[in-house]
Order: sequence, then structure tokens, then C-alpha cells
Amino acid sequence: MGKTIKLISGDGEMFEVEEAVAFQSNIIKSLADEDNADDCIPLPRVDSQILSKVLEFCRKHANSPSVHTKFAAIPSELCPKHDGSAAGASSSESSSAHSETCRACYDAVMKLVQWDLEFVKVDLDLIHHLLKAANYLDIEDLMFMAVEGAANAIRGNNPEEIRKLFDLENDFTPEEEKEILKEYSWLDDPFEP
Amino acid sequence: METELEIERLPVDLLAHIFSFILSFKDLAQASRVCWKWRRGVKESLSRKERLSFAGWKVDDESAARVVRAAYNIKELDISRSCWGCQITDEGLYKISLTKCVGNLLSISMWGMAGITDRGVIQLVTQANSLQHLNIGGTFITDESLYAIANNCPQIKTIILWSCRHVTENGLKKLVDKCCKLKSINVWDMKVPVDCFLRLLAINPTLELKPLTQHLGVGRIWPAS
Repeated sequence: MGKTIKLISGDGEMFEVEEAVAFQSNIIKSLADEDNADDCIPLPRVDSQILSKVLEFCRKHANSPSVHTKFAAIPSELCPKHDGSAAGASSSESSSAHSETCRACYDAVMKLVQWDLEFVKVDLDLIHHLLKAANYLDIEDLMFMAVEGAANAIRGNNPEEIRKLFDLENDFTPEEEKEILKEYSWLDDPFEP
Repeated sequence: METELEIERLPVDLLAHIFSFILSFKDLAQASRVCWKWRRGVKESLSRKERLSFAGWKVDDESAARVVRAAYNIKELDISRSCWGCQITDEGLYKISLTKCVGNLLSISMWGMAGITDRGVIQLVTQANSLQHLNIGGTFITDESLYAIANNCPQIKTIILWSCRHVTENGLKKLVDKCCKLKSINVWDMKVPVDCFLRLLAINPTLELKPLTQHLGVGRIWPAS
């Protein structure tokens, strides 16, 4: 185990993880960079159940390229096939060129994407928490997948179904609702794409 | 307990971010009908859009203008022909000409819009001073619209006029004369004599007239009127 970081969840549980895992979070990274004698980082807004899920995601992504936000620009050092033997240039241009031509990298990226999609196929309550945690901890890839998970829950559903899924209240008055339904009534006609 | 739940709700900013992942108008509309906070989220999300397209939707003048008003940061607007036939009229173009984003639009597509005339087009292009790309093919515009473009859109780079059969050499000449940044015109199926294109090229030799081959003797040639 390389250098580790200690994280304390909102409900007092301690998680010790490798730096590479914890530093997926830009917030944790910047907090650790500060001169912290304690080397224990408190995360009061994330409880242990969510933090453990977040760390599961981070563990999977720790030594992988950022597949979602940087469009699979894989530094050749991380390529499973080439084993860092490719020229060490880590400029984004040579990275994306590498991943475009390297089958091994492409496959690795696809596998990771699949894993992520399964990871967010959970109940909305958890997605809700993951979204807030990813936002609070500033973890790009988790944010991307949690947002995709939430967007998926909205697509194709009517307002009542959406309210049930997200546990929301209809706070429109009947008069307000009437006006609001009119606003996009032009979309209620069936059409052929 | 109630207040705790309130705080736990997703902030409007995050909602807007989620909504920007939702590509269909229909889903956005449904989201805006859920509750007041989500309505604000959709509005915020629209304001972040860079591109707006009504292509394929049966949208009326007021509804289109309403959405364009909300999407005040767009750079591209596509109100081209829907499968239902054109629903937007000159009135719609006029309303859109009054919105915040018009002066910043780089690209507008109005192809196939059978319901618009010079009146609406002129009102719109007069405000679209940053315009670089315009697709107005398959419409009934005349030289008057081209004069308005020549006078108000100095940045115009490409213009598609295919099947604009009421446009004559006069309109084209004014356009090419005045718009020094103009790079290409799509002239397919226009009712102008072939030598008109030669005269245009004399004004601007680097001008691309698409599709070129058709107008150099290969394929369909319209007789001089």
C-alpha cells in the first residue's frame, strides 16, 4: 500500500485509503495538500454508507483514465498492452492519438464504462446521495455518471412518475398547473422523428 | 426532520446540470412540470444552451419565441421545416428578432420554411449582426432579403440559397459586393443564368459556388428569364 489518507465520515467512521484513490476528489486533494498535522480529513457532509460507495467508485477509477470527461485520452503509460514502453510524452495530443489506435486501451475504456453504467443502475435515493457527494467532493467522473443516472430516470417519464421517483411534491396550485401545462403543449402532439 | 430534507434537496444549479444531459425537448418540458424548483432548473438549463433546434417539432410562433427568450445564450438557431409543414410565420421571426440572443447568433437555419416571407426575414436579419452562416434554402424570399443581409450581416461567411427561385442576379450581386467575408453560396436550383455566376466570380474570385459542377454546363441549367 502506497501513501494513505484517512477520511472521517459524517457519522464518525474512519476510512483509510490510498492517495491515488482519495485524490480522485479534488477537494480531498487540496485539503491534503495543506499542511495538515493531523492527516485525518473530516468529511462531515458525507455519511459512511455513501462514502463507502464513493470510495468503491474511486478505487475502480484510481489507475484508469478519466473516461468520461476527457474522452478517453489515455496516457500511454497507463496502457495495459504497452506497459509504459511507449514514449513517455504525456501531452494530451499524443494520449488521444494513442488511445485511438490502441485496441487494448479502447477495450479497457469500454469495460470501465460498462462497470460505471452498472454502478449507477441503483435506486434513485442512492443516486441522489452520490450526486451530492460527487458535487461536494468534486469528483468529475462520479459526477458524470450520477448525472447520467439521474437524467435516465427523467427521460421518457411524465411529471407524476418523476415526482414518485425523486420523492417530490407538486407545489403548483391547480391554476398554476393549468398555465404550466399550456406552455409546452406543442410538445404533447405525437410526431414522427 | 422536514428542514433536513429541504437542505438535502438538489440545488437548482445541479438540477440545471442534470437537465443539460437530457437532450429531448419533451423530457425538458416534463421536467419543468414537476414542481417550482425543477421549473427554475429547466429555465436555468435553457439559459446555458449554445444551440437550439426546433427541427421536427410542430411549434407555433409564440411558443418558439418563448423558448428562444429563455435560451438567451445560444449561438445557433435552427427553426427549419418540420415534418408537419411550416408552423412558424413572419410573426414568429419578428418575435424572435426582439430576443436577447439574436445579436450574438452565429448561425441560423430556416430552410424549407414555406410560411415565411421577406417581411419576417428582414426583421430577423436586421438584428442578427454577428451572423456567419445562414440557411434560407427552399423559401420564397426575394432580393429584398438579400439586400437586408448585405446591409446588416457584415460577418456572413456561408449562405445557402438552394431553390430560392425568386432571387435574381441583383440580389446576389449586392450580397457578393458588400459582404467581403463571404466564402460560399449554395446556388443549386436557383433561377439565374449561368453567366451570372461568372460575373459573381469576377467580383470575388475566391467565392465558392456550390454545387459547382452543375453550373458549369454539367447537369441542370436554368435558362435566362
